[in-house]
Amino acid sequence: MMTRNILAYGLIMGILAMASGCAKLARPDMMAVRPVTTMSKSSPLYMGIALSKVRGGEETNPALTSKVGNMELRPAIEASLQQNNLLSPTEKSARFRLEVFLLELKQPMVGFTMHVESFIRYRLIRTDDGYVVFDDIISAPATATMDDAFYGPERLQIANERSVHNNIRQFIERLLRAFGEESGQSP
Amino acid sequence: MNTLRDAPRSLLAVATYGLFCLLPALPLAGCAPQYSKPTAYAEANPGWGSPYGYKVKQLEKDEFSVFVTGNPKTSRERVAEIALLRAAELTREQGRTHFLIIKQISEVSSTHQPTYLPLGGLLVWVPTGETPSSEPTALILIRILSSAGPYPPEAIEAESVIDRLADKLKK
Repeated sequence: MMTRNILAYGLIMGILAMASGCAKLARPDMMAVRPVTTMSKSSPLYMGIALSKVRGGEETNPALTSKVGNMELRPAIEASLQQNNLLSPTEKSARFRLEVFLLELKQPMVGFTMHVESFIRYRLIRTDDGYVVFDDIISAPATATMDDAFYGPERLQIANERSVHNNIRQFIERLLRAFGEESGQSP
Repeated sequence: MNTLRDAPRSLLAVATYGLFCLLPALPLAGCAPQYSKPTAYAEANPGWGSPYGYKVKQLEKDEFSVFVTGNPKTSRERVAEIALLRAAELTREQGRTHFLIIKQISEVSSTHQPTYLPLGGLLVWVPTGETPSSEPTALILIRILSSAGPYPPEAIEAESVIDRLADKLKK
């Protein structure tokens, strides 16, 4: 009986280990942030930001670990800016340009509970004179458990997305505070 | 009905089946983490080696980020010192003498450490659960200064950092 239990457990672990070899891409729509405020049209930020650089992301290798690449991060940030009335319709008309650098995505190697923490640097530069009006690193943790997904790679993907989502939301909230705009609570 | 004569064959089948089942789990469970010592001064390699140590990313021509994760036995001070030493060595590798710290973050992250069950005479470790844990992290952004100088007062001399920390952290 004992041998059978061990073998059954080994089989389950084997399936889980093999399954962990199929890493998934982060989904931009799951990382994008819904409106955190109703932006005043008189604010210099109102439809005033162009996203110029997004760097530091790592591409997901399906045989290894889920990551967040620049190709997924850029649309997530653009959608967040747009939904918060911060994105400039054209790059030429933008009062500010935003540079984003994903410095680190701290992930677990294995685990049932996946803790991920993203560290992103945001630099907002005034287009007219090149003055840096905002330059900060934001760290945002997130967790995904067995309740979120039984499948390990999916759990890691969810934790990645939540962490980046929390990071972008914190950035928008801090930016609005820095410009004297009130931000409300958003999920 | 099994007879005594069949027993060795059955045992062999069970052993083969067991090995077949456990083999795929090896990448997941091959090395049980035993953190008896603080994190060493070494590059982190989460894919194939230890997730603990430093990682460097280049932001601009002279700007770099140094990120350090320590295992649960490592103090916040030690991960900060590892980051500083890596920044100093990076400066020296670039043929420069001074660098500036532009930004820094030091924190302790919550995590879960897997617990393992040793099987097969300690050759195979299978994860069975997890316990809450914490890992210190340090992140610094540095700008390596031009050799021409002059250097601002807050500039850090790479050699003095290496002299002070290299022996201590590389033991």
